[in-house]
Amino acid sequence: MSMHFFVVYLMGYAIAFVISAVVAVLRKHMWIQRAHKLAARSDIALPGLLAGRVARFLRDEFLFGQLVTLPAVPLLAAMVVGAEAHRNWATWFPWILAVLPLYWAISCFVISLWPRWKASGGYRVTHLGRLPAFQAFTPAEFTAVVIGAVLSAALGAWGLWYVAAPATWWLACAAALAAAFAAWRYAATSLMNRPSSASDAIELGWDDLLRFRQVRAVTSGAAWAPAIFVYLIDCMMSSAFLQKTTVPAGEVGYEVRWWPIIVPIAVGLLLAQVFRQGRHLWRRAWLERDGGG
Amino acid sequence: MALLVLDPQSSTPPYEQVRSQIAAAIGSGRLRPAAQLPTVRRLAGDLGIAVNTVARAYRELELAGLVETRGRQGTSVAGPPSQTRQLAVQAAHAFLRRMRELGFDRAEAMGIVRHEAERTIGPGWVPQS
Repeated sequence: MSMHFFVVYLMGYAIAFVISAVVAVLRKHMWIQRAHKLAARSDIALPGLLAGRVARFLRDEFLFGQLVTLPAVPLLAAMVVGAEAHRNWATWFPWILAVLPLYWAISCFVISLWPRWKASGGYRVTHLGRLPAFQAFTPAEFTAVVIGAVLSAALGAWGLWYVAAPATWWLACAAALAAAFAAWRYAATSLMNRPSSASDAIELGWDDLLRFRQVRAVTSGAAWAPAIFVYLIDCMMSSAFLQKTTVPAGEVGYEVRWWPIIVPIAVGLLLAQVFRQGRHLWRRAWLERDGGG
Repeated sequence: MALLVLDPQSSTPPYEQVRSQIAAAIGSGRLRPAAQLPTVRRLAGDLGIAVNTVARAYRELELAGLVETRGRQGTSVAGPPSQTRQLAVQAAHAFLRRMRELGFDRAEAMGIVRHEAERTIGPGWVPQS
């Protein structure tokens, strides 16, 4: 990795973050629209008094997510670009593979801390029960999460095999993966068990909805983002993006191949379809638990 | 969905609001046997009240045989009462009915029970096996 690359990416990403933060803070109407869209998709009422609070929550969640990625994205980008520039994958791939789960582990911890829904009045309403984290997923979504996690590990293992990484790196990457799994589990459980703060049934519904949304985002992201990222690196390492061609003059040329890029896009679209199923689980899970659904 | 509502302005103490609503939810069947209740800490956090307040409500529900606490598994709704417990409840009902006929209110009746228990059995209650 080149320090030069890292500093340049960090500055670029920081500038992009500041601009997007300013735009996000100024465009209040956009967040209100998003809140209404979320309410319509999730089948929950959004009275006028709550719309502003939900919009603020969504905005804070977006900005906080951006802030969490601030140090990690330039670091990973510098590692990838530096390794590709010097064709030095054998050195850098194991580092990337070890850093990626640890980054997810730290992100999971941080994302579970903020923002939080707060009650508007003195009354307090809560559920007479608790739900485990897996109730935030339909069986198909749960299967997709497991496939993503297995695929992440398999693609990482393929990369380690490709660069002929020594056994110590295999162990280090496995330990990083185990740490990331433990951190995800902690984050998902603490998000589900985090005290709710609501003054009426609608506020409690929003607290549930936003909580479920966070658990689902943390879980699907932890399972699939590393898989797609490592897959792209695997493609770069094996030069899958470029195909050697011989031009008439006898020189060697390169043609760009598109299928390695189409695969993650297709997977992303498929996952978006799968994860549409559980949008109403924030209510259905409680109804099923209480025997009413 | 079984919900619990706490009114901070109510004259009913918070622990009694928690206890009575959980008892009502169990009585009406909204909370079924073996249903897990929130942990004391979680419920206190949700309602913005002290942990001891929720612990007291749970303790009274446990004494009434409505819930049971099993260490790390937490608190859950108790199953149907045993025959012995049903006989005990019938005896308690008969006692309370008789107290009312004699003109004692609830506090006085409970005071008599406590006093007699202290006097005849002593401070340590050891049930016969």
